[in-house]
Amino acid sequence: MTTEAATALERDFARCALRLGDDALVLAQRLCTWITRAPTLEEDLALSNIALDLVGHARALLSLSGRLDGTGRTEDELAQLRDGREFRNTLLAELPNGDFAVTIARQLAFSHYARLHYADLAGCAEPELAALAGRAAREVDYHRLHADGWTVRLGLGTEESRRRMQDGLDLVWPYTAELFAADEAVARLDAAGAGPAPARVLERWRRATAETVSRAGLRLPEPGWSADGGREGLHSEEFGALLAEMQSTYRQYPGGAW
Amino acid sequence: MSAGPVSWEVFLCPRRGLSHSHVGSVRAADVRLAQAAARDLFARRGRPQSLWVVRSQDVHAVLPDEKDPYFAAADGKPFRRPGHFTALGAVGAGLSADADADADEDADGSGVSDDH
Amino acid sequence: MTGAKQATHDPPPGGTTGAERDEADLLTRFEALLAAGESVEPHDWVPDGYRRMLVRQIAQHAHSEIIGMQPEGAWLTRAPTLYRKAVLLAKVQDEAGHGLYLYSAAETLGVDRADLLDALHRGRQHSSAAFDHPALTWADTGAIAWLTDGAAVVNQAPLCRTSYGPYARAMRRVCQEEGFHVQQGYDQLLALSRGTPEQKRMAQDAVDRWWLPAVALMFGPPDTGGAAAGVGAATSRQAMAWGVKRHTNDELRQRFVDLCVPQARELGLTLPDPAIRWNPERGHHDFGPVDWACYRRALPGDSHCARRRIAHRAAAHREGAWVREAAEAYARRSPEAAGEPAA
Repeated sequence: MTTEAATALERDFARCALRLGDDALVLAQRLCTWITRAPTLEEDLALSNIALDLVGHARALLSLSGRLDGTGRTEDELAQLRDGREFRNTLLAELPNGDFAVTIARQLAFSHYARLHYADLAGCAEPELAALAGRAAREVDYHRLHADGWTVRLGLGTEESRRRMQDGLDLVWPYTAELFAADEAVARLDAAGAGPAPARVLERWRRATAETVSRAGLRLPEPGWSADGGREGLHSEEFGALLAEMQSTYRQYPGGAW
Repeated sequence: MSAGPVSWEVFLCPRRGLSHSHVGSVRAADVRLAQAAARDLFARRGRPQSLWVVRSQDVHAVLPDEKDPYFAAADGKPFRRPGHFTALGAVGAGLSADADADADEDADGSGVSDDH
Repeated sequence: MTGAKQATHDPPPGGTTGAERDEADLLTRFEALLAAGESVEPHDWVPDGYRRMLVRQIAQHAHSEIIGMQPEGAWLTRAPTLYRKAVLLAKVQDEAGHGLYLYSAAETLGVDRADLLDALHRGRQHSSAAFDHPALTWADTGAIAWLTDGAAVVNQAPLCRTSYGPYARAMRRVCQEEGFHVQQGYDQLLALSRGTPEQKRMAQDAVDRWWLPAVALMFGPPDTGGAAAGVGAATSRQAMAWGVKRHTNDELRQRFVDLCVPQARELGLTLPDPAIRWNPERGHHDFGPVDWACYRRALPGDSHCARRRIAHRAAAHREGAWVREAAEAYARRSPEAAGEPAA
């Protein structure tokens, strides 16, 4: 382990990995609360499988971030010891689960974005990030199939499911813009050609999600108000509760071995 | 109470060169959900080469009552079995025809064809 | 897996056609199958009692798997490390999977999963009372995996050779995964036991609370020796005659205690039974008699926690009804999605 200060490029990649890792971690945390509460046992399995993939991504990304930023913090130190203001996840990832349709709408937006963005990052200049983005892209591609399938099923199912799925899209979509916003680090990496910014997949994401939504006989809300702040650590009040729950055991036993 | 989603039989091919085998069944409303359920249930460990789901009602077993007329003819024909004849080159080499050892090897005889 | 070529969810014809035949003859054939150690398959004629016993046992087992997801599932959001979170997610997932294998096996006996779940939700069928205890700390997830799953493995390993084919095949899958869970629980408790004094106390407390549910409730009431055996003994005898069970509850309980004692020593934790000591004459560990009062309290499934578990499960089912209906409606509307050839 070198004690030299991280280079500027490494710090930018650390920041980039932290954003991705926090999204994966917080979304996994949300999905975990579905387990034993899903509409079918099969969905208990499906949602836990998705959450498990996301925890895997979070572990790899947070470890990488802790190495690249020069602090040497481990995945757990980053996950369990930061306060809410230091988390860089989008508000989308922390949106409360709502009903199954809200969760599917959130999955639809996130999995399409993650698949495209990870695929882009598989070509980035940070070899470790590139490798894990390549793996993650394949996994979230399955999450996308799951979300697409349920969006269409609910959209074309019953009157009630159609109404709920439309409500879900209406609720979630204003939170999607934040996925594509860059901070300074991401903008620098993109400008230097070192790592593509998420905005580069925005058009493809729009087309792909619109295609699914239209197959489902639903519509996307008109662009209007959109939420942001998560990437700067300005989270929802519910996020405080999510974090308190997630970090409780670790913080309760300082110096513990797990 | 509704009868619930229909039943599907799941066939898994673990890797290239092997045939699909029946691994169990799932219930699902449609074919994509059946594939998803089968994936989550039977392919969490290992990475299979291929996965089939077939509606259970499309599997037509020989009726239990007809098993005798169907299968009894297989008995009493030892000359169909590989170990029945003197092995090639075995004369004088002291090899005995150890018939029944390998005879049952294919007893599982997959009824499902490999190609599609 | 072998021999499962017929559609496993077909209601078996046995029982109805059996009426027209010579029942004694069918029974002889059934008993001959058992005597030959052959497996009984869905289309074979079986006595009603055998079918009822299996449905009850497999359903209870399946219910226990899915209710058993709750105490551990409650800790998914609080796992102390991301590694432990991943491991616990994978384990809870396996339990959902075991539930599905087993419901599927039960369905080969002519019952429907939806009806079995309904019976669970209405309190007409029960899961193992072992899970009707709250998981109070993180260490409980370790203790459940080590002790409750450990008891399950001892109980279930012989079921891989149970006489009913679909059940035996389901159990072979279940056992492969369950053995792995026991190691996981042991590994987790070991980390706590070697951690800070507070962590070790947490581990000991969890073992203290989960020992009795495992040793008593996972194996069922005493069924050997003396008057105390009573009803348990008669049920066990019938189950063994039919090859559904291979060992008495008490034999399996003894095997479990013998396995746990040295493991607890390695863990640096104590089993909360002062009567446990090695008995060189028997070649087994002696342990305190399992208190009948414990069964009387647990069997009606009527504790606070038991009610909460069922209410949780029933609420999930009720709240998901609109999703299941949507999937059914979509399949009806779209024949291609339903797996039928497009017109």
